[in-house]
Amino acid sequence: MSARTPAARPAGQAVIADRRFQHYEGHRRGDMYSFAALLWHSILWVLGFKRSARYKVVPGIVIAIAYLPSLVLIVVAEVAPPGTPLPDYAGFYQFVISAIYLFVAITAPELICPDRRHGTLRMYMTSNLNPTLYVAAKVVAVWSVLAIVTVGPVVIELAGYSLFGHGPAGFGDWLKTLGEVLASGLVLAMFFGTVALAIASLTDRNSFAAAGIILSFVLTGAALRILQGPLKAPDWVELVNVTGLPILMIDRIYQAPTSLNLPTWELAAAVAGWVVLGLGVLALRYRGEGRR
Amino acid sequence: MPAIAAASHVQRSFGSVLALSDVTFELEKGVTGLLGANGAGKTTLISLLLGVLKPDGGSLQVLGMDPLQAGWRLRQRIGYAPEDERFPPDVKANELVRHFAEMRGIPRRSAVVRASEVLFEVGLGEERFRPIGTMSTGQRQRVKLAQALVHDPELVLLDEPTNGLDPIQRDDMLALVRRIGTDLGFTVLISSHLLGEVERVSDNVVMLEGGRVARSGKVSTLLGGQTPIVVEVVSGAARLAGLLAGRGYAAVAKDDLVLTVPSSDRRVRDAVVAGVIELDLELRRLEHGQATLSDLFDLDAVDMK
Repeated sequence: MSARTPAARPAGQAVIADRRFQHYEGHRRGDMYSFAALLWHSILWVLGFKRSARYKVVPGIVIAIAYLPSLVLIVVAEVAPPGTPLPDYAGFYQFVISAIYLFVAITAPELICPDRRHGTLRMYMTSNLNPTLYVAAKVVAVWSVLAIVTVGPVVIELAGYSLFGHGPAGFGDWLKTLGEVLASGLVLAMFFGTVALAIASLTDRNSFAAAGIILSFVLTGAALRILQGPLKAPDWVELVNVTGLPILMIDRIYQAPTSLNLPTWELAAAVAGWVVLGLGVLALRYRGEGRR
Repeated sequence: MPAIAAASHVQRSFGSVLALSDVTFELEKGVTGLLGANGAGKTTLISLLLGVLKPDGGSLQVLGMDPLQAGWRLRQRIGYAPEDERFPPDVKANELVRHFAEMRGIPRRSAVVRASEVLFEVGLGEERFRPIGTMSTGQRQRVKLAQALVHDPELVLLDEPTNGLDPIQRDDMLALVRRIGTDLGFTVLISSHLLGEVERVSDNVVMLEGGRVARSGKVSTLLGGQTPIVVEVVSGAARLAGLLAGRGYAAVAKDDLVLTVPSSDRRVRDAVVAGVIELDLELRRLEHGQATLSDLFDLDAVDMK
């Protein structure tokens, strides 16, 4: 409307560029562009980028805790003589699982609670986004962020072991192990991320959401220990153990020995079921946001 | 010229509360004031235009589209500044405006440039790099306005943009709204419960009262060049209004001192003078004043009694 065309002028003559507001005549992108923009924004937001230092400290510390064991193992791999038994990839998670729980409890609430608390969610609903795209962006964001601590350290461990002669023998085995590492990390990220996001969606307070997530993990783990110990509950109760189920699934991915008498497909179905349940809770929670 | 937006017999309830009833109007280019007391249905109407609320009845067209069917294709052509605070306090103004430009389809590189331009345009220079939580109410209102303009919408919906502002900030904001409607050529719908401020900046008005459209049209047409009779007495304006009403003349006594009669007819003036004499009132002033939207609203209230 008010696009300005520069008038012809002698070469070399200086001009004052008008940097004031001008009407936009460029290309406008659709809803998928805004989905990607929200996804990227959410990942940066939860990691504290473009925010004050206090938002960077906690994620930074937790990520450092998650990566430390893999770096230590690499150093051990370098100095240990060939043939020395080192912790395997499935066993790596016992060093960092607490850090993963903590990271989940911090990141999932931070991804969605402020939007609801500050009312920004309603603003998103007046943009290119709708409830489905909003939730999808947040779910993929939590999976991506969690993958930093569930996939990254084990990939580094694999690289370190391989570099210092403790890795898989042959390229085929190496690729198979890499596949197992990626699958395990993604199972953890998708499982814990979705369940935690569903819990966080029930409140707009980060602290309540974080407490709810931690309590869910702690209480189900404790309840399962009681059921399987004194009460001698059957193996299938592991399928409702949100703390232990994904770890059991990882053991199956790495084909690690286990005393659990449940077929792998049942474990996989239970993991998928929990993820679908989490997505269902999110869908129910946000379905009315777009249009009432 | 086709209307920017049009509502036809729109109805919307929340439970047993009827928020909008049989609302019909057309929104034209320029600045339109959406007037009404708190609870008159202004925010509900804006939500319907945005397509985030579904009408119970009637039909709406915005930029030639049905807001419920068009989805993001319509929403990215509308700018919206909400009444309340809806932004995280720890985000810098330029980051927030850039982000919402992207949320409405502007590519990142253009969004960065436009965020700076529009923040500068609404009067935020270096302040645009400050977190929103550290800004004054007036600055936050400007950020809200900036994010509504950054994607160059064809319709800008401003819900009570002067809320919480002191008189000076309010004047500045109204001047800004007027400027974006005239100098920058945006079509603006500004909602307010303050008649005077809307009258100052609007070309057109839609007046809501109890969820119904009380009046709508061009401000100049509504005022119609009327010069109502203004009567000031020491006391007894209400009694005079009653007397005139009994004789078929609409009259509004804002208090017991001042009375407005919306007519410049000589016979009406004679009737007013006769009434003053009959009631033995002490007259201070009798003159033809300038009609305002406030007068129109008061008269509508009288009509509905």
